[in-house]
Amino acid sequence: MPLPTDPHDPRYELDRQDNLALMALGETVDPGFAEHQSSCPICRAELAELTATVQLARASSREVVEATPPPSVWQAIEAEVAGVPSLSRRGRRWRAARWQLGLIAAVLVLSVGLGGYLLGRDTSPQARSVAASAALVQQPGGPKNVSGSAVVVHTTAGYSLTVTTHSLPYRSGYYAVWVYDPKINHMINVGALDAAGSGQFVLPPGVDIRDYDVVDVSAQDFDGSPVHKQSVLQGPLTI
Amino acid sequence: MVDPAEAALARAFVSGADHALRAVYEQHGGLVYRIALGITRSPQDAEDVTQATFVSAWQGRATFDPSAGSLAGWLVGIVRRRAIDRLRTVNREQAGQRAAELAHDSLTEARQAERSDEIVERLVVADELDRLSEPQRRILELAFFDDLTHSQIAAITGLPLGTVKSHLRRGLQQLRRRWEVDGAFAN
Repeated sequence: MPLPTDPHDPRYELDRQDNLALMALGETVDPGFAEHQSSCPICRAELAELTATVQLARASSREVVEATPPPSVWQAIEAEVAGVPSLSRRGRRWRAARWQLGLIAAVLVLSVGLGGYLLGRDTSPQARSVAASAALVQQPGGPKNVSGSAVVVHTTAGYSLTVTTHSLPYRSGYYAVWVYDPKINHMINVGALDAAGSGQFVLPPGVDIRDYDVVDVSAQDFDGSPVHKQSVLQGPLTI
Repeated sequence: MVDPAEAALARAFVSGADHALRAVYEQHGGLVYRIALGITRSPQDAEDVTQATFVSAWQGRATFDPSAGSLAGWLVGIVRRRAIDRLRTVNREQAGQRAAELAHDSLTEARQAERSDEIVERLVVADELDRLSEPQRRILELAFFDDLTHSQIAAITGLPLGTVKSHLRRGLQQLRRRWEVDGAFAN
């Protein structure tokens, strides 16, 4: 590739930036560009920033980068903001309290049993970025004064859908969560809400939330039928 | 420049929407914890600091100004301060009441702050690398950690040379922006 006479000519701007990125990574570039760079204050400043970025990226040790907080941290946050008597964050009292929280959580997990296991809540993958969210509103024919929300995050394991609901009445059946493609009228069942009315689900690989862009919660019966019954909450995903 | 989903989440957080704290924790809990762990070097302290960070962020959510910066940057600022505070408390406890130790305190604390900034910067950049979409992330990792040149990366991945170069350029610029937005502190 012949070197342009002026690397700052807008026509060659991307080449200039490519060269700076390669230099920051330690690669050898066209000698003509290297010479320009060393005497150009703009290019020198940009290279310094990119080089610092590369150094920061290379300095990260994998064990710290991959550390994730244990589930007890979220449980403690949730308890504290919900107004559970303030737990001292230091000292034995707190450790004992957290141990008790852990025990309560363990009992809950055991009592949810196989259902909880199938939902895979303990293998929650690391979140990457929020892909979409939805406010869920009550549906005709369903219970009144109910509400909910859905958040789709992009994780290492694919799309993860978290559904939270409020005031869904207790019933003898269960509540199922679906994603819906209104254009082709297809629904995919992704799992059931837990006893507290929330749940986290991994969407099947290949499901595109730009197509399946409606989240639906339905009231189902224990009658062996996998067919979608009464919608109780629904809302469109905003991407 | 701000991701629209991230901006929507920030608005939901500030308005106190029910699901927002959970969603923000899922988004940034890992980074907050890793910064706390990097600074305090104790998983126990890191857990406590992470909890305190999210609780105080939620209680003080009205003070977050989306026009002044990102929610992630705001959380990073909170966890950095709290982790340094925790470290100081622990160090003072270990130093006991010895006056000789206290005489060096301000110097030690300046060093600690410097070291903490470096940890924050590294982890913010690593966090952004983790968020890049494929194949950009893989291409950058090959360049960073396997020290491969762009032609070697093209040969390994089977991608055209120009594609590899533009992924390196855009990926690196994305990391630099995130570092500048969320990781650089004017102290």
